[in-house]
Amino acid sequence: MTFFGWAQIALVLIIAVAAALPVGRYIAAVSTGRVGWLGPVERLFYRAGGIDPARGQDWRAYGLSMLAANAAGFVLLFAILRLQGALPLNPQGLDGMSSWLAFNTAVSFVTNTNWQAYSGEVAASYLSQMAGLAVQNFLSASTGIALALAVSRAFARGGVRELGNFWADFTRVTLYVLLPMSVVLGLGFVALGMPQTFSGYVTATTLEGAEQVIPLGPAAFQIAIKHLGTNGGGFFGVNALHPFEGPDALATALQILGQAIIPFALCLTFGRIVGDIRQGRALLAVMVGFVVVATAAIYAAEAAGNPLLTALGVDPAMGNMEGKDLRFGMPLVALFTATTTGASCGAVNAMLDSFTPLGGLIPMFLIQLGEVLPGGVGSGLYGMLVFALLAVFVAGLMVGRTPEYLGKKVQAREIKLAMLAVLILPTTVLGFTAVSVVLPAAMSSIQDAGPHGLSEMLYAYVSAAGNNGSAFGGLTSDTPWMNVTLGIAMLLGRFAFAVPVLAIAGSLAAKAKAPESAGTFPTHGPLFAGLLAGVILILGGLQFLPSLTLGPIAEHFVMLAGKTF
Amino acid sequence: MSRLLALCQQGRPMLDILLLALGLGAFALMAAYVAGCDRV
Repeated sequence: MTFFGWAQIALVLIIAVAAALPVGRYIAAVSTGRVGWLGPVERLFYRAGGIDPARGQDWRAYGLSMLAANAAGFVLLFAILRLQGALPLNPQGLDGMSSWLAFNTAVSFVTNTNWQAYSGEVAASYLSQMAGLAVQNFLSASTGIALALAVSRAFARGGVRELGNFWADFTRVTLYVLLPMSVVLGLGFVALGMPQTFSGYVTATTLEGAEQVIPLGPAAFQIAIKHLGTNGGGFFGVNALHPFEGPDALATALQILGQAIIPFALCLTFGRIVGDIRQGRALLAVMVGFVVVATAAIYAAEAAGNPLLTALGVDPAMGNMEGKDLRFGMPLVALFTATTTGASCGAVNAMLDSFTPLGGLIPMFLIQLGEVLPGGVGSGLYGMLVFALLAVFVAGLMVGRTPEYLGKKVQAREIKLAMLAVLILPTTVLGFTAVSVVLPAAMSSIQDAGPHGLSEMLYAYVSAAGNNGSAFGGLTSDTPWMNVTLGIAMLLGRFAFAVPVLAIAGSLAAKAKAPESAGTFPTHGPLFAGLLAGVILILGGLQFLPSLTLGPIAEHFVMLAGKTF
Repeated sequence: MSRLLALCQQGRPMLDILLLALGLGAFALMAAYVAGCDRV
C-alpha cells in the first residue's frame, strides 16, 4: 500500500460524493415532474401507452405495473436472443443463444443482475447487445430508481394511498436521468478509445505471423449505461479487463464514478423528498463508510500478496497481481471491486477468483450484506430504508418506545414485511448453494477443489440473488441446472424483495406523520448511523458467516499452511 | 419469415415455451405475492 494509492482512492471517492450533490437534487426535481426539457417525447410515450401521469397509484397498482413492465421486457429479450441469427445487425453471423442461456440472460438483464454465462463477442449480435441487453440496462435501472422514489414518497406523505405513478416515474427517470448521463459518459468513453461502431470484427496478423480476430461493436455507450445503471454486464467477455472496455486508469476512474454516483445521489434525493436533507446524508455516510472500509480491506489483503507465490520466488513488492492488470494498478482495482460489489453493479476489472482468500471474501460479503452499500440504483436506497426501519425497531426495543422513522410509527406489519424482504437473500442463496454442492449435475460445474470450490458455488448464488452479476470465476455456468437455478435466484432476489418493500411503503404512506417530540430518536446523527451500520453487519454476519467460514476463511488458513487451489 | 420458422424448428420450441412459462410464471407468482403481502 502506498500514499499515492490511497490518494487515488480518496480522490475518486471525493469526486463521487461531490458529484452526487447536484445529481441528487436533479433526480428529486425529476421525481416531482419539475424537469421537462424532453416534454414532447415524454408526452408521446404517455399517449402511446394511454397513460395519465398525474393519476396516482397505490402500492399494489404500482407494484403490478412494475411487474408487467418487467415481464414484457423478459419476453422481448428472450425472443431477441433466441432469434438473433435471423435478425439484422449480425455481421458475424452468430446463431441464436440456446434456450437455457437465453432464459438465464433475459432474466439476468431484466433483474439488473447482468450475470453472464456467455461472452458477448462470441454469443451476442450487435442487435442483441443494443436493442436487447442495453435497452434492459436502461429499463431495469429505471425500475429500481422508480421504486426508490415511490418508497421515498411514502415517508414524505401522510394519510394517502398513492405512491406516484410507476409509468411516469419509469419514463421520466429513463428520459431525464439515465439517457443524458449515458450520452455524456459514453462520449467520454469514446474519447478514451472505446469502440462505437457497426463494423464487423477485424482480422489482424500478429508479430508471430498468426491471425487474430479483434472484436469490435457499439460498445462505448452500452458500457456507459452498464456502469451508470449498476448493471455490470460487459460488452466483451472479460468485462472491464478487456482493453476496449477498460482502456486505462482514467476510464477505470470514470467507471467507478459512474457506478457510485446515482446510488450515492439517491440518498440525497431521499433527503430532499422527505424535506430533511440530513436524513439522506446519514444514509450516505453509512454507505460511504462501508465502501471505504471494504476498499481498505481489499487493498490490504491484495497488497500483502500470496505467501505461496512469494515462496516460489515471485517479487512480493507489488502484492498479489495474479488476475490484475498493470494499467489499472492495485488501488483502483480495490476501489473498483468494492464499489462494483457494494453497488450491485457486477462489472469487474480484475479476476476475483485470483484474489487472496480474504481479498475475495470482501466482495462476497458486501453482496451478502444486502446490496445496500451503496447498492444498485434505487434498490440500494430502498434496501437501506428497510435496514433503517429495522434499526429504529431495535432502538425502540432497547428503550421501550414505539419505534418511529421520520414521524411514521413502525409497527408489527412493517417489521413482518421487512423480515420477509431481508430473509429472501439468505434463503435463496443458502438453499440453492446447499443443493448444488451435493448434486452431481451442479458439482460438475466447479473447477477447483476444497474451500475454493465452495466459494465459487456460493459466490454464484450470492451474486445472482443479490442481483450483482459479477462472477467469482472457476465455474462453468452455462449448463441447464446453473442457468435455471441462477435465473430463479435472480428473480427472487429482485422481485420477492421489492414487493414487500412496496407493501411497507403503502402501509407507511397511509399513516399520519407524527410531529417530532423530545422523545423522538434522531435519525440523522452519528448514533443512528452507527446503529444502522451495526444492524446491517449483524444481519449479514449472522446469516452468512458460517458459509464464509467454510469457504474463504478456511481457504485462508489452508493457504497459510502451504496449500493453494 | 420462413427462416424464422426454420430457426424455431431447429431449436426446441417446446423447451422455449417451457422456459418462457417458467419466467412468466415467476412474474405471476410475484403478482400473487402482491396480494399476499397486502394481507400481512
